Amino acid sequence: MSNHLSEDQFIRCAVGRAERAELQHLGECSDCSGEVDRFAGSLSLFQGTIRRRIENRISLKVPKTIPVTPVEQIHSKWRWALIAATVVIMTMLPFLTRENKPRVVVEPVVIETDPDAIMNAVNFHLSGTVSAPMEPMLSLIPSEQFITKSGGVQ
Amino acid sequence: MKPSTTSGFIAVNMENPVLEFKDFDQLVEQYRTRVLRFLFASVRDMDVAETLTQDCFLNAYKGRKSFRGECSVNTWLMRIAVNLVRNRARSRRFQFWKNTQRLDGEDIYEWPDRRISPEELAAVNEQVEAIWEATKILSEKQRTVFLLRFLEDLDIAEIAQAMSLSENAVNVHLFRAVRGVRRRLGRSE
Repeated sequence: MSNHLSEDQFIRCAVGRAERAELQHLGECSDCSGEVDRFAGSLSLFQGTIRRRIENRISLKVPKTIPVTPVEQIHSKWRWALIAATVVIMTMLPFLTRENKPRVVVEPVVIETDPDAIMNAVNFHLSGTVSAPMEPMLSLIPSEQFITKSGGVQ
Repeated sequence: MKPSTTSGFIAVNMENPVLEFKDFDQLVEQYRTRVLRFLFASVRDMDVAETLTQDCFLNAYKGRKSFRGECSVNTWLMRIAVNLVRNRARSRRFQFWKNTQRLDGEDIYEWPDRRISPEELAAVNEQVEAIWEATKILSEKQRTVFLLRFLEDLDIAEIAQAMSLSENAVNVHLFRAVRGVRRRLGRSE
């Protein structure tokens, strides 16, 4: 059995998850503790260097603006414009449809109620040829309204 | 869970326990560098990283009403960023002819660093390059876990939330990622 940390034990130490026995070994073994320190130092160097260099690189570039707020504002403006347009159209709609609709001229229905006219029609019918046996006579029978009204056919 | 109230741009609606962003521009300003840094380290292309950063904040803005403070704003943004990286990786699998174009195109060592001497810079570059190269060979999940842990300093619980994984799964990916990086470092030494 080796007197030094195994690879798995070393990695546990490097990621800060060392167990009691491993920590005890690190306290006693300068080789292992030195190796863990070197590896941790490399990772720390990596972090510091990469961070600094990326930040330098970023600072050299002009920061790009992120158009998140303007997009929202544009949407908001369009939404209000759409609502306003809808309200105007809804208000104007009855007027527009009324003007365009063709006027229906209601002609009064002329009902022949004059007694003289009725008598003329009867006379005209009677002066004609003799009716056929099955010829309908209904058109000559006056309706109830003429019978009850004064001046109607009795 | 207790909502995160450390950020000044978040207000809690007492009637409806949904956090509201008072000033989204302030949030962008505060977290832009962090998100861009993680995205660049993941995709290794500054133009793509900047586009994904914009997408990240746009998605965050669209989904701001669903943020309930169950995790920190940083973790929430990292979750969106991780999803963007994942979606991009998926879409690139179908564009295999593009895979070799920009992955190695961005050389971080072109960037000047005038704070240290040339000798020190060379030594630092060597070590950093070894880890940087090592992260390339990791799987997507291992690389994401590694970067969130060692570049962004997120703890295991935060990584689990950002990646929608269990803490055990994160530990497994982290363990494998560190093993892969260490083997690569051992080879380069």
